[in-house]
Amino acid sequence: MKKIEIIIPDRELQTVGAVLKDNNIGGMSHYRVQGKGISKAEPVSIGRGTMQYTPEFVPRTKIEIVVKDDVVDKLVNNLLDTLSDKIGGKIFITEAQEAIDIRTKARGESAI
Amino acid sequence: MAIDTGDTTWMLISTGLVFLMTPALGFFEAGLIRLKNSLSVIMQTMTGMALLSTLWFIVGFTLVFAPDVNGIIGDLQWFFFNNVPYNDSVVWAPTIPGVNFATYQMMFAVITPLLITGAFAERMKWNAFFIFIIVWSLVIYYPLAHWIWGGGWLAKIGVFDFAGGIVIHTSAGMAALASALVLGRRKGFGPEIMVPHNLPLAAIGATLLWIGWFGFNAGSALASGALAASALLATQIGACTCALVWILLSWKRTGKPTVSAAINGAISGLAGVTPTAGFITGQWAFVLGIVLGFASYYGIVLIKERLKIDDVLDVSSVHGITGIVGSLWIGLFATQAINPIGPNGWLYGNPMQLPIQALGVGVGALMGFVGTFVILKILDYTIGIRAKEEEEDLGLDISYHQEVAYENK
Repeated sequence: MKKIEIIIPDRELQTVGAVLKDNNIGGMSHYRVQGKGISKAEPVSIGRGTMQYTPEFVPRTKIEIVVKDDVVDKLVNNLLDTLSDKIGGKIFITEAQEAIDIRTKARGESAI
Repeated sequence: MAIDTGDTTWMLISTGLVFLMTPALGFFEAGLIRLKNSLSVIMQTMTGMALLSTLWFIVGFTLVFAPDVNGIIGDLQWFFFNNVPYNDSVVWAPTIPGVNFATYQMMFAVITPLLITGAFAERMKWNAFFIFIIVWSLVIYYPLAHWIWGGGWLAKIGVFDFAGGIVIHTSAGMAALASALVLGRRKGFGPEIMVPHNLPLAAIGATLLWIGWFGFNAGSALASGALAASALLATQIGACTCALVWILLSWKRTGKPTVSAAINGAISGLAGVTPTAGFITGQWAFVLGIVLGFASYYGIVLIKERLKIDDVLDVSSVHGITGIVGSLWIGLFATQAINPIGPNGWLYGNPMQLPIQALGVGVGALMGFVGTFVILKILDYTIGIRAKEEEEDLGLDISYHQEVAYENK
């Protein structure tokens, strides 16, 4: 099993969700993160509109999924094909040691 | 004189409108500061309403408006509102019940000290705030209001202030400057702590302040009729041209026009037109709004950005500088065609009104600045005025009121 973390601009959540659905991946989690990398944050107005300030961190959405090993390559290729190369973001893949379904007590791949 | 029901109706409504401005000020301030302190300013305005209304009932009204003693203060014949007539008028407003006049003025006595909360927001100790507004009312607002509105020495010299440019905005604005200096900057003073946490709330507050201001300025005619209508027009157009200047300046300076500039510009215009609304034509109010826009915007650039004085909500510019400009405007452009019992300004053949107004402004600014400085220094040496560092980190809402504005559940 692999855990895949996908960090993307918020607006791409729907796109990634559609790719996951096409690959028959039924479960996912996502949350808002603040990070920094190559992209610069948009300046925001402060002090009654007399000044502006560029925040250090940029808001992004992070999606986490855990999938069977054999779907990883196709999924990642699909994601890279669908997401434009103008989009700043990252994909991280790590080994997931164990998965446990709380309701059915199932373990391993049948739990995901 | 006989009570006029039309006048009384308008003044009862105006009383409600000015009342509304105090909670509106709380919403305005809460939206512009950080989430963790947003309730603390609402608490200060709500508590101030209760506390300062009570103080006005007991002793404030009589000290300001009862018959003058040596030009300094009113006597005690209306102590605890005793003998304030409900079926007859008082000398200040001959066509409405005395209690209506006294309650209308109560709302001014409530909001004035609370304007200063914008300067010491996010770091003032609660108990120090509580004592400060009582002392400030007794030592600064009541005497100054008596001197200009209650027949005191400045009134005798001929200083005019229609709805509170000197008595309210200059004094509170300079008090704000003194508060910011005595308290020092907020922890972590810099751009990242100045991002408003809820601009829609601030916009609601500004809108309620704006409509309340019609009662504040047009109500200061103390009667319905031509003068009230003219003051209302001056209020509206002054606020609008000032807001427009702010929108354009913020657009030019920061690249994009912002909501915070629009609402602060409107408040700056409203504050600045206050002293002169009942003395000038709508055309001169139009021009005044433009002048106020530049003066208040660059006032903030000077005080906050260049001098790095942490007047959190820029009360010194939005109320102080505008109050000063508007009060001096009387000396230039007032006309008895608008208000027969008001003065003429320089443009209408009376150059001497300007130095008289300047004297009034000088006294109001000095009282506000020096008085506040001394009061806060004394409080600092006795009970302390600044929140502890860990209280400031945690936020005043939790530290002083054990409440949070929004629970994320």
